[in-house]
Amino acid sequence: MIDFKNKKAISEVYEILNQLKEDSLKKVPPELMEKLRNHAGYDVSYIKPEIPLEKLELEPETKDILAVISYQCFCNEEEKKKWNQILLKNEMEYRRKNN
Amino acid sequence: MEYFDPAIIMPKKMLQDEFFQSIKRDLTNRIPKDIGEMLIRENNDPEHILIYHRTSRVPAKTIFQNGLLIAGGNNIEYTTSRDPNNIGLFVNINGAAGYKSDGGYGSRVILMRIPKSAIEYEPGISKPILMKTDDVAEQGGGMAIVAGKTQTYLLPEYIIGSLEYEDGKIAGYIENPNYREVHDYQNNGLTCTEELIYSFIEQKRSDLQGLDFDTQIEVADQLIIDENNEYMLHPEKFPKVSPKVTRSEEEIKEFSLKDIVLSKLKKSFEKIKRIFDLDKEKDER
Repeated sequence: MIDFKNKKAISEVYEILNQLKEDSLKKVPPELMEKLRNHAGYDVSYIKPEIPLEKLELEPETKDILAVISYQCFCNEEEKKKWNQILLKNEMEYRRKNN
Repeated sequence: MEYFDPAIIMPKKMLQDEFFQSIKRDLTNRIPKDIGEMLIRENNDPEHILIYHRTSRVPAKTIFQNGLLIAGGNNIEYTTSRDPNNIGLFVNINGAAGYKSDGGYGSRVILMRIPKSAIEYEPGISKPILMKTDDVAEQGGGMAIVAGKTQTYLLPEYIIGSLEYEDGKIAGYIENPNYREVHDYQNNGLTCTEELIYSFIEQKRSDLQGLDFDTQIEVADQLIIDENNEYMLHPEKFPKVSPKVTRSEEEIKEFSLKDIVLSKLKKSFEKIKRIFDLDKEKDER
């Protein structure tokens, strides 16, 4: 069962991905798009292609899911390596702050 | 009930195209004739712009009374849509039926008639059309409402009515009794900033919108179908037509990965896997 907040995030992710150029959209597994579509259904008409993502007040979960999709579907090996290094550094800083 | 014939607004060239034939099929038997004509009349009004908001959960009566909740601050573009081209308007109005049919709700489209003078902001001249309130709103407009948070609403007197949908079709139109032709209220406490500018006006001025009906039919022959099977005005005759904007994957990457820390990302991976059973999908493939 997907809760209200996730449902809104899924609707936002689905809308944003649908605004991608066709070539990019092909990189997202159709099964995932189908699942997103089935779980969407929330009014996200405030998401328009001409408005940059950073200007939209998106759910934090939307950013999380987009991050995963970006990493898995859009990044090449080199980019993944670069992001892994940044993420590892962040993780170390996060642990240092919390210890 | 008499239905609107979409061929009236569809240029001949489009009607020959398979893609637009499908649009015609989608439109046929969906938009009642009187409502179709009303939409064209409102959309072609040279003094006003027609904007709309697709919603489902808030009763029309509540919106007529309280106004339309504007998400994302003072910018009405974040909450409302505008289609200067009548075909685009018809497709979107028609598609609203299934837009939020989740959970068996009906759905509706709220129509607003805004004077161009209010949208094209001029300090000291433009009349404010938004109000801020601390009232706790009902859930709606697709927004999660935070109790006690200041919300911005479009004044009810700019809302002309609501198209009501049932079983995927327009079932009727309710006029807003609070709509006013003349806006002579006091401006005190209301909001009007440059954020209000509805940029679509400038971007799409060279589109079919703004031309009278006969001229639209004439201009229709100047339309060409581009390589993406989308219609556009002939670039030499209408050089200001802007291409369709689409998001790039770079924008999504830049936006979503920029500030994510590893712990959060790990959590997200687990979350998305849990939600969509990604591992299971992978195994099956």
